[in-house]
Amino acid sequence: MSFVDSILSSLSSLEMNYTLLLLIAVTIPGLIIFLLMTVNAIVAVYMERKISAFMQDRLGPMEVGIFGFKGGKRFWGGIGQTIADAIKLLAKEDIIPKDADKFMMILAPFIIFIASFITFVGVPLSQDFLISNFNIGILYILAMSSVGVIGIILAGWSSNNKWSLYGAMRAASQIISYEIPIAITLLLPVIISGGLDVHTIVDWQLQNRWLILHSPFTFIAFFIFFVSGIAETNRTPFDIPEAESELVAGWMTEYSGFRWSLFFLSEYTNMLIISLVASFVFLGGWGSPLTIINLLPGDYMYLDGPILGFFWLLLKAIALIFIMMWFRWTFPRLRVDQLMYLCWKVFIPFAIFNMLAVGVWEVLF
Amino acid sequence: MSKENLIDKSSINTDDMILNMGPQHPSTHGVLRLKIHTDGEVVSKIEPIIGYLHRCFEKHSENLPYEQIVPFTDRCDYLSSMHMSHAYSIAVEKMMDIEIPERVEYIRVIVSELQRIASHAFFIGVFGLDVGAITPFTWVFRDRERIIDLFETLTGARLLYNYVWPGGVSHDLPEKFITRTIEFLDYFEPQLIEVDELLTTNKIFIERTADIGVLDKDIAINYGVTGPALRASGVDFDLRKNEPYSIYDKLDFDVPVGRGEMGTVGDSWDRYIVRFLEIKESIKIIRQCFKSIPEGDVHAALPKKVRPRKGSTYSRFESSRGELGYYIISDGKNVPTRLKMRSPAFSNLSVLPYLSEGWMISDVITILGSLDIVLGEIDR
Amino acid sequence: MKEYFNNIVGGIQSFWKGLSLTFKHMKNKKDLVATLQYPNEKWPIPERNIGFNLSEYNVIRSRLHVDMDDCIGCLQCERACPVDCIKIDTIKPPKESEFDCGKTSFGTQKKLVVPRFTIDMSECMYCNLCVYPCPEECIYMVGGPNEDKHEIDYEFSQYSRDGLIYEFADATDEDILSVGGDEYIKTREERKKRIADGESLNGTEILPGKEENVSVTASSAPAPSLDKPDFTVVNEIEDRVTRATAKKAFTQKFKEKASFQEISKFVKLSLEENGKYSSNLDDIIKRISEMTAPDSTDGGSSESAPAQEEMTHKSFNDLENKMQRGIVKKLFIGEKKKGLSDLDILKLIRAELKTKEMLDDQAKELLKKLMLQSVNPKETPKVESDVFDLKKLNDIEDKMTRGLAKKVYTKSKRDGKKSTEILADIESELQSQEKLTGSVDAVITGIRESI
Repeated sequence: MSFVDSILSSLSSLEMNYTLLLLIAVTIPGLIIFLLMTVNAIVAVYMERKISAFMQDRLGPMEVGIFGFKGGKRFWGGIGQTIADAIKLLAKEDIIPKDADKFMMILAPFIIFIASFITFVGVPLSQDFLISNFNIGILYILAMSSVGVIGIILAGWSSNNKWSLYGAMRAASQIISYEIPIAITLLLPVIISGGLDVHTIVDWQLQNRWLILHSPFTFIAFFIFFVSGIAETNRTPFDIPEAESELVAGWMTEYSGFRWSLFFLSEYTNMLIISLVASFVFLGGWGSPLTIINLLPGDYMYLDGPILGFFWLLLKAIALIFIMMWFRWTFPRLRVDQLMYLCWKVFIPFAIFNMLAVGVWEVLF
Repeated sequence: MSKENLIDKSSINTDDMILNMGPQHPSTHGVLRLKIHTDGEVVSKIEPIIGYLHRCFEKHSENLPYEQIVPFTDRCDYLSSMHMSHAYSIAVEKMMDIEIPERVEYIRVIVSELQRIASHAFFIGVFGLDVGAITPFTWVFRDRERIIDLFETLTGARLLYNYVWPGGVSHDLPEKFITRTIEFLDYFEPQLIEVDELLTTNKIFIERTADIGVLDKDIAINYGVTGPALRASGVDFDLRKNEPYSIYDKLDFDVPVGRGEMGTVGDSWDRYIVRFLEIKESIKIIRQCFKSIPEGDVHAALPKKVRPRKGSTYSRFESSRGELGYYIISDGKNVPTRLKMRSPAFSNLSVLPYLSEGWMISDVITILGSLDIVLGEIDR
Repeated sequence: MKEYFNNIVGGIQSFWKGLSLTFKHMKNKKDLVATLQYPNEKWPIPERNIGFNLSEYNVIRSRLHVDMDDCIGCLQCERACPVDCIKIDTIKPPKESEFDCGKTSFGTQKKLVVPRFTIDMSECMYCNLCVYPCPEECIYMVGGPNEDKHEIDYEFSQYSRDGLIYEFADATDEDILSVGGDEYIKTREERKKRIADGESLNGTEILPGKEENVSVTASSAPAPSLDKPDFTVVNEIEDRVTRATAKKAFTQKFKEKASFQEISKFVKLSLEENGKYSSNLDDIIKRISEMTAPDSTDGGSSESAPAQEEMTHKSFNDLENKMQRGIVKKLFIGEKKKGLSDLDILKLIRAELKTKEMLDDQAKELLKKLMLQSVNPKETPKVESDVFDLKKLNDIEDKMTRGLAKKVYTKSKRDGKKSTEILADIESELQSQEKLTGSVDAVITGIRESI
């Protein structure tokens, strides 16, 4: 039962105007998603700053605390830093360059935000925590995540800045190219489990085993999917569009204050979405670790349920986010044409080959 | 990835785009302005514009007595200040025919080599940053802090020392300096292995730097490129071996030359690896000096009044960026009549437009980073 | 194809190495973190035991401090500073006064009063060059080996630049007055007043005892006097080489104090010798011969030529031979101190040069000239000093009128007129220009009454 359905059913007894009912049923889940995105951003930013600091032999934010708790002398100070940063960003002056295309510039962050927002609608957080029950789940997610490119191109073009233009062009080519390996590798679970709906895929996994260990080909497919997902969200080693040492901040250069925080928010949301989708599709969704290889049938009944399921899913997603951050702080970045080489000449052949091989495997075993 | 994959220009009528990599940019090493003419992502022409850091050092030194110029030479190349004052002192001593005691020579060499390690370590960190790897930067700086701590015990200052004076050094080594330096050297060598693992053999790093910005032997010599950039192109020329000054002829060390292990001879990877290996050689030199340093008074040859005879002189010195030269004309007064500094980074920068033709913008930054320039030295 | 797969495999291997390294750093964060949480924890100052007597060399760079009780005013630190951030004034007590400047902590007797010792820390470049030459070790950078005298201070930032100008002198006004420094106090008060009025002085003021601080603006372009030839006529020659030849000839003869006719003849001769003579230069040569020597008592510059009446060691600057000049000057200064009269000194000098066989023609002539000068005081009448002061005309409010009045005043004064005549001139001039208003008239009457 999705949220929308449950709200509609609980309020239908009140005999309200249908439009008003619809409005409420749409706004409340919207607010919930927004809340989720914000909380995710706060936690993820703090995590990133601390992890990057420890990897670089330094301490990260230490001084700002919340509600009087400043944290210990070592390692756990600075919890309130992200909230303080968010307040600062909201209060900053909003600068629009003189010759910039004003309408486009204001529109761009909203398009990107909307793209991540509506993708979230189709992503379930647990067995029952679902905004809307799509029966074409995976396809919907795939489609909606491509909307973000338009926002990036608009942002880069309208800034009236050659460096932003560079960033936007690179981003456009990168995101569109990396959609293809994602799509092909996402087809594999569909083939194996027989349905586009997220529930179908996860249930198949809980009854059999996690897809990552199903066959060596799906193992490779997981890595291709994950790395292409990193490329989708413009993180190092694929952060050419916002390469800090070359293009200052790429397509986001001319943005300040609230608009910039929208970009930021949508980037972290994208990260979360990719991690969540990877955990559903390859790592068993909301099943407990007992279901990795189902030794005894019926194991999946243990340690399960809506709340625990949410907890397991979150754990897997956070682990994947950690891996994304780990990658960021270890590797140098690739040049544009090397990025393209990687996509078209390494990932796509492997992905297509995988699909064929998985088909053969299914027939044989 | 190479020059052959460019678009065939004759079929499309395109215009050049002029991109300005301004004085304020995260990866021009200082205030350097580059006017880049590009066709899409491919660079067709670069004009470097310098002068944003000009402080009239040479003109100002015409009004200063010789011993007061030393702090100003430090500020030209702030990353290798010991080299600058050392080269200057050699020039003035040549004009005054001073014989400096052995101990002073040894101290100067130790300090110069430590400074060379610090400068090359800085280069490694910043080069990684240019290419995108942010972590080695902080690791390398933490180790460089230790060198700067050593200098702080020695002179009291962290970056601009005013230590090497014409005729000697300003004061002797402290008591525990030698033991501390040897401790540091023992700690530092394993750290280099870590950076090696993270940067030197990393596939992405190799793809970003190998075969990029290949500098031929002849062209390097014609442009006047010196220092590690020249040695990376295969030319075995190091002033410490070819025209030894001070006590370098008594010391035993190798000169690393680029061999094109990961690509062609003279690419950016070679320039990186030459500097990396030079750190190891400097460590060797320092250990040898510590074994055979004599006792003595460091102030024995400091002149009371620095008044060189009439005439002019040119002194050559191998700094961490290349050949550093000082040309001093004197009229017998206590201020120089003309002081010219031949800055190695200036000649190294001049080869940038030639090297980056046909590569992409990301490569321009890699090439600029591998040349290792310091704007303070170029603009004086 | 094989290379393709090798690339991929090699890539994955190197990635794994890098990833494990970063993970290791993260795991071992307790040992490896290198951050210092300033200001709760501060980096310790390295130990300073250099191994020999520390009091001679101070190896810390922090704020400068001066122990004023020890300063003897030798000005060594001021001279050693490359950026001139130390400014010291000293006053020497006259011989008769019984003022005791005190003793330093090393036992040296101080001989000078130091009323001003300013260090501008915003200009200081922390090079430590001022610390080495101090003979009493009274200027040093705090902390470090001198920690017992003054504890360390490197956090002395201020909000405005004035806060960084440190004044160390502690001579009170009574002390200064008792050594005869009333002029000093007067100039100091004047400076303060001018700064308070908003004028920015930029260190161009001359304080007593510091003639070498004369700035460029104080000396205007020197008017032609007996020492420098007047090139206004010669400069009209257009061709550069010809002009240069002419100037060289001109100066040569000018130095020999020849008359202008002789100079013009010599110029023509030298031009002909160099093949640069042409008939259109005749006019210029004729004008050279008609030049008159400029008045030597012109009211123009007074700083290049020494005053004609008084004989100082500078009068001997014309002697070309360095050794000769040195001997003469030394003798002059030595004898002058003993209090001999000018004439006697000159006689002594002549005798000395004769014994050393350095008495050439030029020296003989110079000595003769100076002897004549000392015997006969100069007869050129000095301008009467009882003319009223120019500044009285400042009372006129209107700028144009004031300017005009001052112009007439100077012209008349130069012609040697008396006060009443000058006033009459001013009045007639203003009337002809119709600027003689009521207030101006009142001012002039006021001046007339005060004379």
